[in-house]
Amino acid sequence: MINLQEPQEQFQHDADRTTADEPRRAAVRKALGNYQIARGKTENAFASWQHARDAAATIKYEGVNHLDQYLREFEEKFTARGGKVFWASNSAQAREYILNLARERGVKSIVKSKAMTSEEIHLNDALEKDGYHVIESDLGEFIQQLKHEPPYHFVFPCMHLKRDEISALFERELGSAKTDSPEELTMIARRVLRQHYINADMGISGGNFIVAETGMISITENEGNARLTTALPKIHVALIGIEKIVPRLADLSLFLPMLATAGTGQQLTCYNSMYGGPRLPGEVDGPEEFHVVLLDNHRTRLLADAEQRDALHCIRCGACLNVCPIFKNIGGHAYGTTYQGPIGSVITPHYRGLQDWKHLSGASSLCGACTEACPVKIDIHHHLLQNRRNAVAEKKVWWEKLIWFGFRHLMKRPWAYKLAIRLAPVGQLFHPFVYGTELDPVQSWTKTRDFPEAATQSFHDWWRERKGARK
Amino acid sequence: MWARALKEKVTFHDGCHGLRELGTKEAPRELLRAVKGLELVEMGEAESCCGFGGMFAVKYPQISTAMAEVKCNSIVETGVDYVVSNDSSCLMQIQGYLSRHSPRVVKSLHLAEVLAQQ
Repeated sequence: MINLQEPQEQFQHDADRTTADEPRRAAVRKALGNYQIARGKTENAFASWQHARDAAATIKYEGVNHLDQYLREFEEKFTARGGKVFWASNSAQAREYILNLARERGVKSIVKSKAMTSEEIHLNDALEKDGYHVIESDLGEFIQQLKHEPPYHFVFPCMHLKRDEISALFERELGSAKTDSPEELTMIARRVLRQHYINADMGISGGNFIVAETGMISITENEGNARLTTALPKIHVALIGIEKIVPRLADLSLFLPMLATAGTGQQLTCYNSMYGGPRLPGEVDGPEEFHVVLLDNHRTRLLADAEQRDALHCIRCGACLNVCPIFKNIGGHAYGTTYQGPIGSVITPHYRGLQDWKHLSGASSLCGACTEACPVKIDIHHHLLQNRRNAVAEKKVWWEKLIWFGFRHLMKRPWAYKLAIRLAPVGQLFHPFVYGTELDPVQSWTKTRDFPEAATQSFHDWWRERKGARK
Repeated sequence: MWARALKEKVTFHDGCHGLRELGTKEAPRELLRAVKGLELVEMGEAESCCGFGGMFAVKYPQISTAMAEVKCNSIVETGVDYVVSNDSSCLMQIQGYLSRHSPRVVKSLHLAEVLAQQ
């Protein structure tokens, strides 16, 4: 992989490469086609999916618009049971807190369950640089860690890999025998992971929901790995984005089946656990220490944007990626972001800079499949449009300005427009000489597609003739 | 173009704006079914974006073309002679891809062109 300087150049380069890989695209398309079928069935299990979406959006609106109140309520209840809360304004603060904790407690080995926030702050790199042994326990994340690759999709980290590729990876990295059976592959990973749970002295998790009312965090998973990560080591650290707040415990009765439906097409994810604090006197298991790191890292910047603040409603189900034709064709790595797909394209400019990441908002046909799929009704594709507008308002692109200048003047003058229409068929006579070459003014179209032929009779002329004939 | 009796097999492409902004899924199909002799064959990717998207089509031609490829393969698979839509931009993209890459001739038509023949 070539590493180009500008994220936009890198994106164009990676998209060239991934769109040319039709077998990979076909595999991703097939996997997501199966998701679509499963999801359709579970949606129908709701009395009304549309009403459920309305209710979910209302609850998240309430939570996100009263973050100050609900996060404090969470902190109060959670600390009353012996938990510790750290408010991290940015990724450096979050990393420092966790590193310090590991140093002070003499931690050697760390096991992690799936946490996109840890990808966001590059936690593994920081921990490994300090000499800690870190292992991902979610099967997909485990595979990606062995591959030294970031997750491909924030819910399905290794969905782009085929069985034989995983088998070859395990053969190489773990010395296992070649196999084509998903069950056997899982057992290989399981055997390796079990020992790590027992040895680890710190478990790091993410969190799907922060429940203010009871001061708990909720973690949803299919493999049981989060339960082991959070229960066996003597220290548990949960790193969670502040937007994951819900006001009441009862809200989960909607959000847990909704997350499962939209995320994977399941009625309910296999394990849904609530964590309320460290082991109390008289209890037989659980960690001795439990820290929750509440991560801002520019989420409050997004909160300050009244137009796009609903992007903080996101429950990271991944539905928008699963239905996105851009994601399906370029794949997750081409985005170059922690959060891929439509929601990633919306929030990354807020988190990492508009000018550096505006191209992701441009790389969309605005088809709206994401908005339609979003369970919490984030207006995703219109936010992409707003990012484009904001980027231009901040800094204009000269060649675009020139094009729109020309277009505006043509459209404002009917005589010029008519002339252009009449000249088009004449101009097109010369097109074959440069068609599809570097000299072709519309090369980025004609390189892969045919250019429409200009009509010899314009619509205006045809209409006039038709009217004349009817008189 | 579409002379004689309309004994043609067509498939319908849902333009994103019509489908998702206006919510018209059935209306154009009802109109097509009312055309005598015309057979409507649904394609698997009917609701998938064709990949046009305005400036997107020329700013990110590789992504736009990949999307057209998925769309057009689905059109060709149905065995139809015509693909009909109510969005001219989509038709420009679809026709542009089909005439370059399709193994057999499939023409694109605007819904209005079909109905105007009636």
